[in-house]
Amino acid sequence: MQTLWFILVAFMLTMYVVLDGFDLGAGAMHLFAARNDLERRTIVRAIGPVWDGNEVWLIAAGGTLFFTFPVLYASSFSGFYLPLIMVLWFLMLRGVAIELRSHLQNPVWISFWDGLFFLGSALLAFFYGAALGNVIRGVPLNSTGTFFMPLWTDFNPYSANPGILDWYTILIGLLALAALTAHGANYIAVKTEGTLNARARRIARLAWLITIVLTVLATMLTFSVQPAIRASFSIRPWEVIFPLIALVGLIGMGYFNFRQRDLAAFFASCAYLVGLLASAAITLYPMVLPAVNPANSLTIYNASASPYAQAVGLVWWSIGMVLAVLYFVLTYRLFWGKVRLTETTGY
Amino acid sequence: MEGLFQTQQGAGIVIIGQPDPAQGTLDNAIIVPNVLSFLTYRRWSAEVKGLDAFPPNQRPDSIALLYYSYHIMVGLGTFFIAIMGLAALLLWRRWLFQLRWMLWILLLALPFPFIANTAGWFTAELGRQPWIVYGLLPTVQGSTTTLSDGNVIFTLIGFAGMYLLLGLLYVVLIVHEALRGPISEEKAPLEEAIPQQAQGFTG
Repeated sequence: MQTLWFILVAFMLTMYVVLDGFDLGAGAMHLFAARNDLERRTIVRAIGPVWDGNEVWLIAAGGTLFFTFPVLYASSFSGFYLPLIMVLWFLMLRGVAIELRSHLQNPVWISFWDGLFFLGSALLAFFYGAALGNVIRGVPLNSTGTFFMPLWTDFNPYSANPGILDWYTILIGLLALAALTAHGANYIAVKTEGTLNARARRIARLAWLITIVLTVLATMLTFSVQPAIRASFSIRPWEVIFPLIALVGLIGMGYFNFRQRDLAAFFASCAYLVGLLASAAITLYPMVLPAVNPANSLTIYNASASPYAQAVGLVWWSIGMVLAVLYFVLTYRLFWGKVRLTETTGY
Repeated sequence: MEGLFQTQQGAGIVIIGQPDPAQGTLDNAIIVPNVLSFLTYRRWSAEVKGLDAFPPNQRPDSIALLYYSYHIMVGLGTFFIAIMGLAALLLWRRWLFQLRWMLWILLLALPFPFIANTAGWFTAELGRQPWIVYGLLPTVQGSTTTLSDGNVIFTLIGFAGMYLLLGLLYVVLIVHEALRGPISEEKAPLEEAIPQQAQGFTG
């Protein structure tokens, strides 16, 4: 039962990164891809119907943690208090920026919100990467399973008292930013045509090259920062399939970009993200939050709710998931295809 | 919530009055008798437990604040029902847009939903003290142990600033929309304007 919930929570977080990832990426690249108000509005319109639905996956994952792994929820939400609140602020500002930018036809007003939309999206992508970096590296859990981390200490991932940001988590943050920018650019390429489409492809290619370099670097460093990962591969060699999915996705991103097949490139970046996140999750299993001192790590066994709670949760989770998937299919079918805006179309 | 300090049968509902938690009395009260009993138990003479039925350490901390926030919420709610009923009646009779005093009331009622909403949250959060999960987990034990005051104040200031900004933006946009005025006022006679206005309320 705990293992099942581990997979389900990992699934939800992966869904979140893949879905919200492309609208974050779209936000991070929109200043460079769109040169005038019409193009900006086209990009906002491309993610407009789906971005808030995508973010529900994060909230749902948080709620699921609350009833399946309450100890993990309590420990990590207190320990990551500062970055979590900041992520919340960026999410708020970014959402407000999308909603308010077209309410006043004033150049200063519109530029301000466009800038905020870019900043919020780019920083969120970076922070999510840094968060993943923290979970891989481990946090200074004490024997009662609690911790508190400042934003930075000595920037050293091998330190006994690490901060949220050190050179390893910053690297993972940059990787997330590059990968999600490529992902978002692929999405925008799918949704647009003409010059905007061409610029989106160019950005996707550039971000893809950076992603390759950072992926190689991050992969090598990860084995050194978290020794449990190497051990995990030797216990369960079949796990190699997940990094392979990521690798195929990474190659596909470039290949389909050169062949100008935007939708295929987008699915390739989806595969890359899924492969990367699944590799991280499966190699940490059964840990849910590794500690600097391995004896204090939170695992699916010492952090989980009672079997009864998890069984009841499964029933409601399944009902909620059916509704979420139905809504997902409906929305994406409804807004399928290219976005075509003219000067007179309102937001 | 009701400032009911003594357990009694046929308890009344308080329209107005100032609670004195130290003395356990309600000053200058205007009370409609028996209504509280009816609302709670569907019987006019039912016994309602007063605060004296609970030991002091299981009572909410700020009884006065709880009492006022609850009464503000309910008072405003009653007011909303009244003006909505009246406005709906006037709209149906097509008088609403001729009666300037009614439009003034509706305009000035703009901040009240926010106040009522906030007061409602005060009621919920103050009213359940000292429990965070009633009967299971006291608030004192439910708080996090690793978080320092300084960090909490930092985020509190951040949220205050954020909401101040969003509140100001809201006012700016509302004023902007209001200054543009109703679209069809000059072009169409008032009777034709009404259906459009009515759609505006739902959308």
